[in-house]
Amino acid sequence: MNRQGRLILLVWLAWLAPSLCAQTLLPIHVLADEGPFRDSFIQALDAAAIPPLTRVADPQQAELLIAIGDRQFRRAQKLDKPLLGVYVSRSAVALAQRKRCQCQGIWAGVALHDQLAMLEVMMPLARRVGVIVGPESAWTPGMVQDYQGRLGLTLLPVSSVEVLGDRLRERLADFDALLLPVDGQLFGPDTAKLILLTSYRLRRPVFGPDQAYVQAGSVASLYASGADLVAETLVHLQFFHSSRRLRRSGFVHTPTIAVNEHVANSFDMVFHDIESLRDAMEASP
Amino acid sequence: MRKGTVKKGAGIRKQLQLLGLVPALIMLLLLLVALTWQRFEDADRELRELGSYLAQQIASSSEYGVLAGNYNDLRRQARLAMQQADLQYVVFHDGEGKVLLYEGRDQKQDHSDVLEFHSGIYRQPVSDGDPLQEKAADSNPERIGEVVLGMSSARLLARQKEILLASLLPALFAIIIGLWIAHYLARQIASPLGYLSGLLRTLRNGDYQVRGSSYLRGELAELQDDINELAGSLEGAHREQQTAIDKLRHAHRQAQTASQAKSDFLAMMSHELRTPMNGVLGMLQLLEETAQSEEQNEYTRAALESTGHLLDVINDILDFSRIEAGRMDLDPVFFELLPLLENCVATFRYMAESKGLYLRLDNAGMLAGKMVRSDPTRLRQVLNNLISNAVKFTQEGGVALEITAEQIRDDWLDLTLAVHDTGIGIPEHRQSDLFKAFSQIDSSTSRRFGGTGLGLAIARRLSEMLGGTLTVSSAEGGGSTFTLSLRLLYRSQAPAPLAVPAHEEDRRGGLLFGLVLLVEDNEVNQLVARRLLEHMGVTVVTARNGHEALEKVRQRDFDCILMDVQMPVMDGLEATRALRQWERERGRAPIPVVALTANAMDEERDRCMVAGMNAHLAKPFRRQQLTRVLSPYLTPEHAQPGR
Repeated sequence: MNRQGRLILLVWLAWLAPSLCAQTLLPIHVLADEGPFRDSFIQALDAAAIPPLTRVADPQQAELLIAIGDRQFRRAQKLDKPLLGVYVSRSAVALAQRKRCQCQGIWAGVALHDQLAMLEVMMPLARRVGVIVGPESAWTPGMVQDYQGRLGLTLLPVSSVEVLGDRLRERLADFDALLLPVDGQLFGPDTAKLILLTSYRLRRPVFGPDQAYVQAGSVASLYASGADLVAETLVHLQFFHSSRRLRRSGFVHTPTIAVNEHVANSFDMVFHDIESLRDAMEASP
Repeated sequence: MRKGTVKKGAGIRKQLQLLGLVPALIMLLLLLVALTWQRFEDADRELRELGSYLAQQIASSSEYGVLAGNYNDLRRQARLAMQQADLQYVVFHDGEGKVLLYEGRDQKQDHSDVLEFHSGIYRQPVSDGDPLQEKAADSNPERIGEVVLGMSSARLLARQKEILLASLLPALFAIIIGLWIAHYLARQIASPLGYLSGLLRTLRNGDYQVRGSSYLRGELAELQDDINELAGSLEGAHREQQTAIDKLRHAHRQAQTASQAKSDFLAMMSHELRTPMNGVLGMLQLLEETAQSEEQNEYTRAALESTGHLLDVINDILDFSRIEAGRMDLDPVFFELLPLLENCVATFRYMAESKGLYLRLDNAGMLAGKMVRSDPTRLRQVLNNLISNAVKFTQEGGVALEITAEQIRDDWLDLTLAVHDTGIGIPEHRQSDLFKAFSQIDSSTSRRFGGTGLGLAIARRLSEMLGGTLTVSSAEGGGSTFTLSLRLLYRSQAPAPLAVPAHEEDRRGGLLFGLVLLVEDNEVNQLVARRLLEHMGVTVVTARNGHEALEKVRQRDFDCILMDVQMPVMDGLEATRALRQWERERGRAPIPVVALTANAMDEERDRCMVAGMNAHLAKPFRRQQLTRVLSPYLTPEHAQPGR
């Protein structure tokens, strides 16, 4: 699926290229916390030929502001410029929009159905899947409830970290697997061990929410890597450059797969490595 | 080290030190070993408990890492554990035994010094507040892996060294203290003992005035008091002993003085009695040679016989006195016994036959070819006395000398000489007095048979001096048997040529030749000797003292000198010494010198020999004795040519 998505994106960009080349440069300004991700991100933007961009130091001279992360996204809102949030929480974008901010965002995390698709590939016999959703989660309870697939999703609303353990011990045994969205409050490093240990002890695999969790012991996850975010940003920029309006907020379209082979082995799952899983996912309907 | 102070084995001080120290050292050693061993065990157990605890801790905390394959978590756990300095490595295995992670130190560690601790990693149940369910889940947890800790035993060894050092230092200190205490206590006990020992040593060395004055307590004080009392007693006893010794010395000196006086008296008596006796005997012998009527001749023989008895009496008295004074010396030599016995029998045969008695020697063959070691003179004296008595007291029958000899080992001979007679016998109640001096059965015996009663006393004393016994068995009127028993050293020897009997030698009385210097101050004795010598055929020159004799010797060559010993101006001994000196200076051959002395004591004979004289003849002497003494020097083959 990812490979397919990227292929479509590249074809689309190739189609737009002649017209883009003939157009003027889009002045942008990137707001991001200092760090390697910022540098890599800017470097990738600078290297991109389409759309024609020019990165300006003064945000007032930019036509579009790009803010990476919730904090910078909130800060950029004060500049009253068209704003694209990258890897921002869905709630932060919603809040800004409620404040009539001219802004859209690339949400942190991946789409629910993408994760579920991967789950189905890895656990073809799974039927009951629990999905924990908190106030700051990338997925909303409605998204879960609206799911129409073959899996039986059960929403596990968790309001805070304090009740997370109890909720897991109470309910986890009822599911075949547990699915976690990106949630800065619920699923940080502090709760990973609690969630994962509980899942191991109850022999229930955990999927999601990102690569760090996979490294920590989650079986597998689709996640938005840096390259995914850059690619998605370029799509948004191209759209803005051509239409002078922001593309609707959403998850990255071509997330990256991460698998913890050790855990996958311990759960006797079919796919033990990324390549075979990716192939399987691309082959799946 | 002084004699008597040689220590046998370790001293009491050392023994006390050992006594005090050895048990303490043994106890200390045992205690040290036990405690050290226990502490070693504790340290070992501590290390093992720590290892087990760490392994369990890591195992319990690595459940998540193992389940999640979270190497970072496992590495973090391992590094956390590796903060323990003794931990060399941590290995995590999964449920199938595959190594998930190895975390170790860079430095190489000898695996023989590493203790491994294994602990299983289990999947823990989820606690949901239901204790019953939790307990049920606990009962069979799933093993999902294992953690292995490698702990270095270096720390254990270091700890053991520390323990050993920590144990040894106090032990060493305790040993030093123990040594000092043992030394101090031993000195406290041994010093007084040494002091008391020194006190006893001083006492033993004869200083009885010494007293112990050291401040002692308990038994040692009592011992010191006892030693002081002992010293007091010894001092008193010593004083009494010294007094007794002084008395004894005084008595001994008195006895010696008395003995010397007795000896001097004997010598004087011997000289004073023999000198006139020599004159009487000599004159009678000369008189006997003269032409006399039958009656005169009978008187002369009677006078000679009486003089002979008188001489015997004098000799007996002198012998007994010498024995009593302890001045009778024996001169044991090897000699052939049988000729001596035959000679004794022959001596009295004439007397026995004149009384119509037989006198025989029985079992003479037992002694053929045997030489015994004894004093032949004294043995002859004893036998002569016994045979003489037997002949004297036997009127009918006879006398037999019976020989019994039994060989004891190779060189000893038990000899029994029994003189049997058929005489008057001796009443049994008188036999015990028989060997007492001056005792005869009764005075009538003395009157009838003569004698001083000293003969048997002398015979028994001489028998004892010869190492034997003299016993008697008799019955009144049934004869007597005097038995002389001797154990003599003997050896066999081929029969020697028969000696010339004395009487044959005596018969050669007139066959002497040569020039004789007669040195005699007593005119009568000089006349007697001169006449006897002239009758023997020798030429006589006289001198009145030694000085005169020396002058004559220088003037003429003499074949022999008859030298009186006690003379005025220069006595015979001094004159002989001067003569020998003069001869040595001139390189002359020594002239034989025969001593003529009225002193019959052996000492006198010795003094004569020492002075350089060749022979000794006691006064009064008989013609035969004179002839026998002079024969070796005045026979024709000895006489100097040209005289």
